[in-house]
Amino acid sequence: MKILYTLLLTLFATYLQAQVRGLVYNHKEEPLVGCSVVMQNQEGGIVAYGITNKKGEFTIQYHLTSEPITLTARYIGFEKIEQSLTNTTKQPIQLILQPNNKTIEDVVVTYDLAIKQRKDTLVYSVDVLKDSTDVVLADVIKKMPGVDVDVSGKIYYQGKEINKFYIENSDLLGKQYNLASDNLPVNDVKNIEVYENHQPIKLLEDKLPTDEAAFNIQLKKKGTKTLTGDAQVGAKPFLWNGKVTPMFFSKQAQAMLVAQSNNVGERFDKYTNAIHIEDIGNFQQGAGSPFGTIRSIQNNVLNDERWRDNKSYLVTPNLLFPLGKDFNLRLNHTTSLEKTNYTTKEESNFYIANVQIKRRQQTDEAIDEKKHKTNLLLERNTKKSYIKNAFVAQLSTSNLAQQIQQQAPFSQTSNHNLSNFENKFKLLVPLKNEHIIQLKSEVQYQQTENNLELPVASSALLERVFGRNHNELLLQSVNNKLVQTNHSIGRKFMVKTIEVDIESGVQTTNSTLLTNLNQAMLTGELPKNNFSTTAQGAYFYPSFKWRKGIVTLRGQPLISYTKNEITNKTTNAKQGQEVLPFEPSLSILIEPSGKWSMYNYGRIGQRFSSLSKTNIEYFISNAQNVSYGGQLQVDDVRNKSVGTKLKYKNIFSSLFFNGSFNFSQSEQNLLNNVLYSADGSRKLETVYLPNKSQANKVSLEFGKLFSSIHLNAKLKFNYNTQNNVVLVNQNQEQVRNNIFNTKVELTENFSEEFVLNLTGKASLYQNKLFGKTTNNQQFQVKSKLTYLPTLAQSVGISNELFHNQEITASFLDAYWRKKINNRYRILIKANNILNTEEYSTYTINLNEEFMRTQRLRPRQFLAGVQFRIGKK
Amino acid sequence: MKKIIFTCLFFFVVIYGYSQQFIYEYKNNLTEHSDEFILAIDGHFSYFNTVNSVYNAEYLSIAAKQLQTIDVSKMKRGSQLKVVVEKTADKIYNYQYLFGANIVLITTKEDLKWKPLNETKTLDGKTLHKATVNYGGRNWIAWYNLAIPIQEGPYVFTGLPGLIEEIYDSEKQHQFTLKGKPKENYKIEFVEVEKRSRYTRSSYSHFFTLLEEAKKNPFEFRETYASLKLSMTDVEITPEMIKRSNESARKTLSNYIIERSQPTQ
Repeated sequence: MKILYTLLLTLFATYLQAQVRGLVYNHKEEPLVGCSVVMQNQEGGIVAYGITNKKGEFTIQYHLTSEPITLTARYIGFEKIEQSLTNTTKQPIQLILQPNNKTIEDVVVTYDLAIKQRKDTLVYSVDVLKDSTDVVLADVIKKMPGVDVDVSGKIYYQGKEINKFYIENSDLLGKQYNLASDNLPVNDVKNIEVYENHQPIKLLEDKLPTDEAAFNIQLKKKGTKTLTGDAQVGAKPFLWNGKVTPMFFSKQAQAMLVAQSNNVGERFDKYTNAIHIEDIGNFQQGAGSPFGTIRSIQNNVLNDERWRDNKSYLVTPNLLFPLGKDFNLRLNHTTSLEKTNYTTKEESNFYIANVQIKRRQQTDEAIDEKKHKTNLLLERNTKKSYIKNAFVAQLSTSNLAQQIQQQAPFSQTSNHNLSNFENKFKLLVPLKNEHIIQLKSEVQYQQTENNLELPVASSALLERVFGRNHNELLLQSVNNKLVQTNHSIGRKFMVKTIEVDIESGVQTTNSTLLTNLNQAMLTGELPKNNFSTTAQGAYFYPSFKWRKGIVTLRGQPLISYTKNEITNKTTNAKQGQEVLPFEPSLSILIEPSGKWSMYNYGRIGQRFSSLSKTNIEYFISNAQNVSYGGQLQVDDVRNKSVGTKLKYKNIFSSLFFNGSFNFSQSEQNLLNNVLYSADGSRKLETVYLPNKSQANKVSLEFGKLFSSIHLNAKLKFNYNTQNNVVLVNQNQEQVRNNIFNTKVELTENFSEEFVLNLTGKASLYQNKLFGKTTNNQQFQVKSKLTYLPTLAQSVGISNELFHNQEITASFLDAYWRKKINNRYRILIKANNILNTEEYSTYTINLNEEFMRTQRLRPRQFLAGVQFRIGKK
Repeated sequence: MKKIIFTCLFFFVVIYGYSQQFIYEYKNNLTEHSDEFILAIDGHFSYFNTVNSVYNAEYLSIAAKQLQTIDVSKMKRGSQLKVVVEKTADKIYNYQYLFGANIVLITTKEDLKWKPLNETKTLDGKTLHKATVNYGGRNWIAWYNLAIPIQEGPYVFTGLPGLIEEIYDSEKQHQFTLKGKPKENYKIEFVEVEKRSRYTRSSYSHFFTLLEEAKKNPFEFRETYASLKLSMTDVEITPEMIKRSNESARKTLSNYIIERSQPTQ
């Protein structure tokens, strides 16, 4: 009976309406208006709620319940107050709230989008992207979703290299922008702006948008004047690494000097190799390629600091000076001296029908390079006209000394000198009816010298050619001079809704080539090479663009005419060829929304030999490679390619994607017949043999910033297949190479104290030749964990693991950095703590595969100071 | 680049302090459109508009004061959801830009009959409470945070004991999510509610009649109610133009944030 009574009472109470009234005051007994008063049950569920009125009063209607109820009053800036509500609670309830120091900012996260968009400009907030371990601008650029940076520091946005890198909208560095990204302190930068479809010429803005993007670095304060530096010394052996970078950026003038030296492995090629002039122009590619450049240093999977034994010096002053409104003078100079020693053990396999030649050798190399490059640019870039004159002077000397150990040791030396001068002029002026006329004039003079010295007995190939002189030293000198000119006139105008861009011009190329062997070596097979070549041509490059809605169509039927002539100056014999290629291309761009775009293209090209491939009788590259020309033949190469690119970006979710597929087919009538000797030395003969090659390339790239979990993720996949014909020792064979690469980069800020960076790379190679399939793979995992006990101090430990079928190498590095004050920080580093001594890489090229094992730098320790002087 | 020479503009403006500002992300899951909105609160008054509109207004205001030339390229794009909401102590003004017609739908805060539910969820370590309400013919599900005792939320939503951090309709077509506070408060200048003379005031039922009219014949609706009528310009009106205009308008209206005149219970 008692139970039934209780049950009935409970049910009845459920449907009974009750009311709670009360007043909420602050500590000064003033009524609090808009205070939330909530009735909650034991589980925290909301039973009912009320909000105080102008007098601080609240009234809450609710259903009577038997369960305990808590009344809570909350107000911003005050501690919440709770009170149990019972049948005996006296009404009106009076609640007095005490103040606390909490503000709304303590409860709600301050919101700053990582990326914002304004028309064609994306603004990446550096404060959102950076973490406490980032020091220079490049550290943040690498993390930008949609952006990729290669080993040389080149920046790609959605798969395409940027066309400009501005600092406060001024172009101080041209293509050498990696100087800025490697040296600008990240704390000085406010935003990185990406200008999509950027047209650098103001006169063409809105008339001729490009499909390229540009970067603009917004500094936190205008007129930044600063000097940063880094001085480190260490052991063992004695090590140094120093850098001084004074910088000045104002709205009018900008200047930056980088002076740097080290013997810790870091090289400066990435600064010295950058091309200064943006427009390469219409020079025949390859016509000026100097014969026999010395062997370049191999790009490595590992950082230079792991393996390179060096002494490097770099000075590069850069100045942008205004001569008037939108009229600038720019000077960029680079001088670098680099000495590099390294030791490589190489195991090579050359596949020939039913035969496999194996070669093992160890090479100790010393490379000594001196490079000077100056660029002087005058540019007036206004809405009304555009004028630019760029002058480049370049001088370089490279010496290579090699000690090679095969069956018998021998030494080989070569040196290469280059002088190059170019002047490029461009003028754009508007005519009536929105017509724009363009004039271009370009001149280049280049001289190269190459000297080679090696013993005849160094390879089976040379011994066969110079049999009678096998005890002699072979001396080869090559001189090549080249003069190129290109002049064109163009016009841009509209015909109804079609944009027309026409450029027509003339170009000439004159070159001479003189190859000498020491007198005793001149044979019937290897006489004196003494040639001159001339090429004169005209071209007509029209381009039509039509846009309607979301579709843009572009057609470019390119036509050119070239007359080539080669003269053998020894015999005075002449040969010539006339070529008239027609190279149309068509592209369709579909942009259904600001998020998506799709670009489809198809093009047909026809290219003729620049004569350099066939005009020389021979050229000795080194002991193992001799190229032979032969009779002059037209090297007619016909290319077809089709492809599609898909791009997606969602600014709100910081998600970027780009994918592309490309198929290309090439038909050519010349092929190199590679004649291997028993020791792997090769003679390359150009022969007439029409053949076909095909390539497919699939590339996918994702970038996503997960703000809520502080994770930055980047994924990259590449799949390449190549089908080529090779001719080895007269055997013709199809070779198929498949390469799959993938790369994952993750940066996770677990908290203010811990940051984790992870990079994983995997490469799979498959090679099919002569009925045999070879599979290989390489994996690399890098991890770096940084602990920041205070804002002024950080400790980092990093591990790098490298694995392929030959070797598993592991590296461990550590550093400690402490900020002394706003100017100075001290740094202690330990590299290669595990003292890993060597590692191997695997590469494959047509029918040749190479496994290279390199000696690495030993365990070493460095300590130094990093400083920053000057006001922002 | 288009440029407009700013000659003379007269605004009756009131500058509000806006002690609290919040950013909401709006997503239309059918059209995949998304945008950023700002909710600015000052005492009993609140203002809800797109961040881009607030930015543009700030830019225009500076240009007007300094008699500068307006560079249209510096202005931000408009939003697909053309909605501005102002809430006073008791009323909700929902400003709609319906095919050129400026209409303000006026309701009271008491019209929002919230149903608090026992359900909670955790988001980024915060406990959010669930409540439902009916507005504009849609059932809305709100998640609010008692730890932020501000009785406000995005769009027209207001009156819960904590800030609404997330709200979406039962079909998840329209969704507002709190992203946080802006790094710096925006300077908001706007015409006082009572001085917005160019808006046609509308009750709930009248607004629905207009909406139905717009759905039936969008082009005619535009020509009847819009302040800038195409027939008054030199633009040649072709049947093709009317057809395209109607198709585009119907597509927009098929997923309009307000569906019916009266809330379904």
